[in-house]
Amino acid sequence: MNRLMLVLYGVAAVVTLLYPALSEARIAANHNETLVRDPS
Amino acid sequence: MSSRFRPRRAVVRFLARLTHRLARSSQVRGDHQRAERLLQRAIELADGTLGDMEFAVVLNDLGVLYKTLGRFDEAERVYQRVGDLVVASRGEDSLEAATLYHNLGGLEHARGRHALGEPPARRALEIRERLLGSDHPDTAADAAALAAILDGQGKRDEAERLIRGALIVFERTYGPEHYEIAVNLNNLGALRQAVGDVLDAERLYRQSLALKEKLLGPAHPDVAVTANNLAVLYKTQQRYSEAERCYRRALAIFERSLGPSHPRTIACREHHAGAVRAAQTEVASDLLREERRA
Repeated sequence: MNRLMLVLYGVAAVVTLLYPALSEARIAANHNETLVRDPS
Repeated sequence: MSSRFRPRRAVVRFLARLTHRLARSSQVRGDHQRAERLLQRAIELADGTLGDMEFAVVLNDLGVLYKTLGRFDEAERVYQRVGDLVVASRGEDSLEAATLYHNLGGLEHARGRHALGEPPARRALEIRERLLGSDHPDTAADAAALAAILDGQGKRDEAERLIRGALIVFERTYGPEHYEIAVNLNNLGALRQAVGDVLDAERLYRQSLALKEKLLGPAHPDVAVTANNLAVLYKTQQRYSEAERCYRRALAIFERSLGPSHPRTIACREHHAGAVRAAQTEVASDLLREERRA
Protein backbone atom coordinates (compact mmCIF):
# COMPACT_ATOMS: atom_id res chain seq x y z
CA MET A 1 0.00 0.00 0.00
CA ASN A 2 2.80 2.38 0.97
CA ARG A 3 4.61 1.57 -2.25
CA LEU A 4 1.46 2.31 -4.27
CA MET A 5 1.06 5.68 -2.54
CA LEU A 6 4.70 6.45 -3.24
CA VAL A 7 4.23 5.67 -6.94
CA LEU A 8 1.07 7.81 -7.08
CA TYR A 9 2.84 10.72 -5.39
CA GLY A 10 5.73 10.34 -7.81
CA VAL A 11 3.42 10.36 -10.84
CA ALA A 12 1.56 13.39 -9.47
CA ALA A 13 4.85 15.24 -8.90
CA VAL A 14 6.10 14.54 -12.44
CA VAL A 15 2.76 15.56 -14.00
CA THR A 16 2.71 18.76 -11.94
CA LEU A 17 6.26 19.52 -13.00
CA LEU A 18 5.67 18.79 -16.68
CA TYR A 19 2.15 20.16 -17.07
CA PRO A 20 3.09 23.84 -17.59
CA ALA A 21 5.51 22.85 -20.34
CA LEU A 22 3.02 20.53 -22.00
CA SER A 23 0.14 22.98 -21.73
CA GLU A 24 2.08 25.55 -23.75
CA ALA A 25 3.04 23.14 -26.49
CA ARG A 26 1.39 25.07 -29.28
CA ILE A 27 2.91 27.26 -31.94
CA ALA A 28 2.93 30.86 -30.74
CA ALA A 29 1.53 33.60 -32.96
CA ASN A 30 3.44 36.86 -33.17
CA HIS A 31 1.90 40.33 -32.89
CA ASN A 32 1.99 42.95 -35.62
CA GLU A 33 2.29 46.16 -33.71
CA THR A 34 2.19 49.43 -35.63
CA LEU A 35 5.13 51.79 -35.10
CA VAL A 36 4.07 55.13 -36.57
CA ARG A 37 6.68 56.95 -38.63
CA ASP A 38 7.23 60.66 -38.14
CA PRO A 39 5.98 62.21 -41.41
CA SER A 40 8.43 65.13 -41.35
CA MET B 1 11.97 -1.15 -29.25
CA SER B 2 11.93 2.59 -29.87
CA SER B 3 9.01 3.01 -27.45
CA ARG B 4 11.03 1.51 -24.56
CA PHE B 5 11.38 3.92 -21.63
CA ARG B 6 14.89 5.37 -21.57
CA PRO B 7 15.57 7.39 -18.39
CA ARG B 8 18.40 9.45 -19.88
CA ARG B 9 16.29 10.46 -22.87
CA ALA B 10 13.37 11.34 -20.55
CA VAL B 11 15.66 13.63 -18.52
CA VAL B 12 16.88 15.40 -21.68
CA ARG B 13 13.28 15.80 -22.84
CA PHE B 14 12.32 17.27 -19.48
CA LEU B 15 15.29 19.68 -19.57
CA ALA B 16 14.36 20.73 -23.12
CA ARG B 17 10.81 21.57 -22.02
CA LEU B 18 11.99 23.36 -18.90
CA THR B 19 14.58 25.42 -20.81
CA HIS B 20 11.95 26.29 -23.43
CA ARG B 21 9.56 27.41 -20.72
CA LEU B 22 12.23 29.62 -19.14
CA ALA B 23 12.98 31.08 -22.59
CA ARG B 24 9.31 31.95 -23.11
CA SER B 25 9.22 33.62 -19.73
CA SER B 26 12.28 35.75 -20.65
CA GLN B 27 10.72 36.61 -24.00
CA VAL B 28 7.49 37.78 -22.35
CA ARG B 29 9.50 40.00 -19.98
CA GLY B 30 11.34 41.53 -22.96
CA ASP B 31 14.71 40.04 -21.94
CA HIS B 32 15.62 39.06 -25.49
CA GLN B 33 19.29 38.21 -24.99
CA ARG B 34 18.51 35.68 -22.28
CA ALA B 35 15.58 34.32 -24.31
CA GLU B 36 17.85 33.69 -27.30
CA ARG B 37 20.47 31.87 -25.22
CA LEU B 38 17.82 29.68 -23.60
CA LEU B 39 16.04 28.96 -26.88
CA GLN B 40 19.24 27.85 -28.57
CA ARG B 41 19.96 25.56 -25.63
CA ALA B 42 16.37 24.24 -25.72
CA ILE B 43 16.70 23.51 -29.46
CA GLU B 44 19.93 21.56 -28.88
CA LEU B 45 18.19 19.51 -26.20
CA ALA B 46 14.93 19.11 -28.13
CA ASP B 47 16.46 18.07 -31.46
CA GLY B 48 15.86 14.32 -31.71
CA THR B 49 14.27 13.99 -28.27
CA LEU B 50 10.95 15.85 -28.66
CA GLY B 51 8.39 14.95 -31.32
CA ASP B 52 8.28 16.92 -34.58
CA MET B 53 5.42 19.23 -33.56
CA GLU B 54 6.84 20.00 -30.13
CA PHE B 55 10.23 20.69 -31.74
CA ALA B 56 8.45 22.99 -34.22
CA VAL B 57 6.96 24.93 -31.27
CA VAL B 58 10.44 25.58 -29.84
CA LEU B 59 11.90 26.51 -33.25
CA ASN B 60 8.98 28.83 -33.98
CA ASP B 61 9.69 30.77 -30.78
CA LEU B 62 13.21 31.41 -32.07
CA GLY B 63 11.71 32.67 -35.35
CA VAL B 64 9.42 35.06 -33.46
CA LEU B 65 12.39 36.25 -31.38
CA TYR B 66 14.56 36.87 -34.48
CA LYS B 67 11.68 38.85 -36.00
CA THR B 68 11.40 40.93 -32.83
CA LEU B 69 15.16 41.57 -32.90
CA GLY B 70 15.04 42.68 -36.54
CA ARG B 71 17.06 39.64 -37.73
CA PHE B 72 14.60 39.00 -40.52
CA ASP B 73 16.62 36.64 -42.74
CA GLU B 74 17.38 34.37 -39.79
CA ALA B 75 13.68 34.44 -38.83
CA GLU B 76 12.72 33.44 -42.38
CA ARG B 77 15.13 30.48 -42.36
CA VAL B 78 13.76 29.28 -39.02
CA TYR B 79 10.14 29.64 -40.19
CA GLN B 80 10.98 27.54 -43.28
CA ARG B 81 12.13 24.70 -41.01
CA VAL B 82 8.99 25.12 -38.87
CA GLY B 83 6.88 25.04 -42.06
CA ASP B 84 8.43 21.78 -43.21
CA LEU B 85 7.71 20.14 -39.84
CA VAL B 86 4.16 21.51 -39.58
CA VAL B 87 3.12 20.58 -43.12
CA ALA B 88 4.60 17.08 -42.77
CA SER B 89 2.89 16.49 -39.41
CA ARG B 90 -0.43 18.32 -39.72
CA GLY B 91 -0.94 19.36 -43.34
CA GLU B 92 -1.29 22.75 -45.07
CA ASP B 93 -4.81 23.51 -43.83
CA SER B 94 -4.31 22.81 -40.14
CA LEU B 95 -4.53 25.24 -37.22
CA GLU B 96 -0.76 24.93 -36.77
CA ALA B 97 -0.21 25.86 -40.42
CA ALA B 98 -2.55 28.84 -39.92
CA THR B 99 -0.31 30.10 -37.11
CA LEU B 100 2.73 29.71 -39.33
CA TYR B 101 1.03 31.76 -42.12
CA HIS B 102 0.11 34.34 -39.46
CA ASN B 103 3.79 34.56 -38.45
CA LEU B 104 5.03 34.73 -42.05
CA GLY B 105 2.66 37.68 -42.58
CA GLY B 106 4.03 39.21 -39.40
CA LEU B 107 7.59 38.87 -40.65
CA GLU B 108 6.76 40.81 -43.82
CA HIS B 109 4.92 43.40 -41.70
CA ALA B 110 8.06 43.88 -39.60
CA ARG B 111 10.12 44.21 -42.78
CA GLY B 112 7.73 46.87 -44.05
CA ARG B 113 6.81 44.64 -47.03
CA HIS B 114 3.11 44.78 -46.28
CA ALA B 115 1.84 43.65 -49.69
CA LEU B 116 3.90 40.46 -49.37
CA GLY B 117 2.48 39.86 -45.90
CA GLU B 118 -1.16 40.10 -46.96
CA PRO B 119 -1.57 36.69 -48.72
CA PRO B 120 -0.26 34.53 -45.84
CA ALA B 121 -2.16 36.64 -43.29
CA ARG B 122 -5.40 36.20 -45.27
CA ARG B 123 -4.77 32.48 -45.57
CA ALA B 124 -4.29 32.20 -41.80
CA LEU B 125 -7.60 34.00 -41.20
CA GLU B 126 -9.44 31.90 -43.78
CA ILE B 127 -8.24 28.58 -42.24
CA ARG B 128 -8.98 29.70 -38.69
CA GLU B 129 -12.47 31.02 -39.52
CA ARG B 130 -13.26 27.70 -41.19
CA LEU B 131 -11.95 25.55 -38.33
CA LEU B 132 -12.78 27.65 -35.25
CA GLY B 133 -15.41 30.19 -36.33
CA SER B 134 -15.15 33.97 -36.33
CA ASP B 135 -15.78 34.45 -32.59
CA HIS B 136 -12.72 32.52 -31.44
CA PRO B 137 -9.88 34.61 -29.92
CA ASP B 138 -7.30 32.94 -32.21
CA THR B 139 -9.36 33.98 -35.24
CA ALA B 140 -9.53 37.50 -33.77
CA ALA B 141 -5.73 37.48 -33.41
CA ASP B 142 -5.41 36.60 -37.13
CA ALA B 143 -7.87 39.38 -38.03
CA ALA B 144 -5.94 41.90 -35.91
CA ALA B 145 -2.62 40.86 -37.48
CA LEU B 146 -4.11 41.20 -40.98
CA ALA B 147 -5.49 44.63 -39.99
CA ALA B 148 -1.99 45.91 -39.19
CA ILE B 149 -0.76 44.67 -42.59
CA LEU B 150 -3.70 46.35 -44.38
CA ASP B 151 -3.06 49.59 -42.46
CA GLY B 152 0.51 49.50 -43.76
CA GLN B 153 -0.92 49.52 -47.30
CA GLY B 154 -3.41 52.31 -46.60
CA LYS B 155 -6.41 49.93 -46.72
CA ARG B 156 -7.83 51.59 -43.64
CA ASP B 157 -11.57 50.84 -43.87
CA GLU B 158 -11.10 47.08 -43.87
CA ALA B 159 -8.31 47.36 -41.30
CA GLU B 160 -10.48 49.33 -38.87
CA ARG B 161 -13.43 46.97 -39.29
CA LEU B 162 -11.20 43.96 -38.55
CA ILE B 163 -9.48 45.51 -35.58
CA ARG B 164 -12.72 46.70 -33.92
CA GLY B 165 -14.23 43.22 -34.39
CA ALA B 166 -11.11 41.63 -32.89
CA LEU B 167 -11.22 43.95 -29.87
CA ILE B 168 -14.83 42.93 -29.16
CA VAL B 169 -13.84 39.24 -29.20
CA PHE B 170 -10.75 39.86 -27.02
CA GLU B 171 -12.72 41.82 -24.43
CA ARG B 172 -15.46 39.21 -24.32
CA THR B 173 -12.90 36.40 -23.97
CA TYR B 174 -10.20 37.91 -21.75
CA GLY B 175 -11.86 40.89 -20.04
CA PRO B 176 -10.63 44.49 -20.34
CA GLU B 177 -7.01 43.96 -19.26
CA HIS B 178 -5.11 41.73 -21.64
CA TYR B 179 -2.01 42.02 -23.79
CA GLU B 180 -4.00 41.51 -27.03
CA ILE B 181 -6.18 44.49 -26.10
CA ALA B 182 -3.16 46.68 -25.30
CA VAL B 183 -1.53 45.91 -28.68
CA ASN B 184 -4.71 46.51 -30.63
CA LEU B 185 -5.62 49.76 -28.86
CA ASN B 186 -2.20 50.96 -30.02
CA ASN B 187 -2.89 49.80 -33.59
CA LEU B 188 -6.37 51.34 -33.61
CA GLY B 189 -4.80 54.57 -32.37
CA ALA B 190 -2.40 54.49 -35.33
CA LEU B 191 -5.35 53.99 -37.69
CA ARG B 192 -7.29 56.90 -36.17
CA GLN B 193 -4.18 59.08 -36.35
CA ALA B 194 -3.76 58.22 -40.04
CA VAL B 195 -7.28 59.47 -40.81
CA GLY B 196 -6.68 62.68 -38.82
CA ASP B 197 -8.73 61.92 -35.70
CA VAL B 198 -6.04 63.07 -33.27
CA LEU B 199 -8.28 63.20 -30.19
CA ASP B 200 -9.37 59.59 -30.58
CA ALA B 201 -5.79 58.55 -31.40
CA GLU B 202 -4.44 60.17 -28.23
CA ARG B 203 -7.12 58.55 -26.07
CA LEU B 204 -6.39 55.11 -27.57
CA TYR B 205 -2.60 55.49 -27.22
CA ARG B 206 -2.97 56.55 -23.58
CA GLN B 207 -5.22 53.56 -22.83
CA SER B 208 -2.76 51.21 -24.54
CA LEU B 209 0.23 52.72 -22.73
CA ALA B 210 -1.42 52.46 -19.30
CA LEU B 211 -2.41 48.84 -19.94
CA LYS B 212 1.04 47.87 -21.22
CA GLU B 213 2.73 49.50 -18.23
CA LYS B 214 0.43 47.57 -15.92
CA LEU B 215 0.81 44.22 -17.69
CA LEU B 216 4.44 44.38 -18.86
CA GLY B 217 6.17 46.95 -16.67
CA PRO B 218 7.40 50.45 -17.62
CA ALA B 219 10.57 49.37 -19.46
CA HIS B 220 9.17 46.74 -21.84
CA PRO B 221 9.87 47.29 -25.58
CA ASP B 222 6.12 47.22 -26.36
CA VAL B 223 5.72 50.24 -24.07
CA ALA B 224 8.30 52.03 -26.24
CA VAL B 225 6.23 51.43 -29.41
CA THR B 226 3.23 53.29 -28.00
CA ALA B 227 5.41 56.00 -26.40
CA ASN B 228 6.94 56.57 -29.86
CA ASN B 229 3.50 56.77 -31.49
CA LEU B 230 2.25 59.20 -28.86
CA ALA B 231 5.35 61.31 -29.48
CA VAL B 232 4.67 61.39 -33.25
CA LEU B 233 1.13 62.55 -32.48
CA TYR B 234 2.34 65.28 -30.10
CA LYS B 235 4.90 66.49 -32.61
CA THR B 236 2.30 66.86 -35.38
CA GLN B 237 0.34 69.04 -32.91
CA GLN B 238 3.47 71.13 -32.16
CA ARG B 239 3.48 69.86 -28.56
CA TYR B 240 7.26 69.60 -28.78
CA SER B 241 8.23 69.23 -25.12
CA GLU B 242 5.75 66.36 -24.64
CA ALA B 243 6.92 64.79 -27.91
CA GLU B 244 10.57 65.07 -26.92
CA ARG B 245 9.90 63.49 -23.51
CA CYS B 246 8.02 60.51 -25.04
CA TYR B 247 10.68 60.00 -27.74
CA ARG B 248 13.43 60.07 -25.12
CA ARG B 249 11.65 57.40 -23.09
CA ALA B 250 10.97 55.21 -26.15
CA LEU B 251 14.54 55.54 -27.40
CA ALA B 252 16.04 54.55 -24.03
CA ILE B 253 13.89 51.40 -23.94
CA PHE B 254 14.58 50.46 -27.57
CA GLU B 255 18.33 50.93 -27.17
CA ARG B 256 18.44 48.80 -24.05
CA SER B 257 16.13 46.00 -25.22
CA LEU B 258 16.62 45.82 -28.99
CA GLY B 259 20.11 47.31 -29.39
CA PRO B 260 21.31 50.47 -31.19
CA SER B 261 21.09 49.11 -34.75
CA HIS B 262 17.57 47.66 -34.66
CA PRO B 263 15.26 49.28 -37.29
CA ARG B 264 12.89 50.50 -34.55
CA THR B 265 15.73 52.04 -32.53
CA ILE B 266 17.07 53.79 -35.65
CA ALA B 267 13.62 55.13 -36.57
CA CYS B 268 13.00 56.35 -33.01
CA ARG B 269 16.45 58.01 -32.82
CA GLU B 270 15.73 59.92 -36.05
CA HIS B 271 12.29 60.91 -34.76
CA HIS B 272 13.80 62.12 -31.48
CA ALA B 273 16.44 64.21 -33.26
CA GLY B 274 13.70 65.74 -35.42
CA ALA B 275 11.63 66.64 -32.34
CA VAL B 276 14.65 68.26 -30.66
CA ARG B 277 15.36 70.32 -33.82
CA ALA B 278 11.68 71.34 -34.10
CA ALA B 279 11.60 72.39 -30.43
CA GLN B 280 14.82 74.43 -30.86
CA THR B 281 13.47 76.09 -34.01
CA GLU B 282 10.28 76.99 -32.18
CA VAL B 283 12.21 78.50 -29.24
CA ALA B 284 14.37 80.50 -31.67
CA SER B 285 11.27 81.74 -33.53
CA ASP B 286 9.61 82.78 -30.25
CA LEU B 287 12.74 84.71 -29.20
CA LEU B 288 12.86 86.44 -32.60
CA ARG B 289 9.20 87.42 -32.36
CA GLU B 290 9.72 88.83 -28.85
CA GLU B 291 12.80 90.79 -30.00
CA ARG B 292 10.83 92.32 -32.87
CA ARG B 293 8.00 93.29 -30.54
CA ALA B 294 10.43 94.88 -28.01
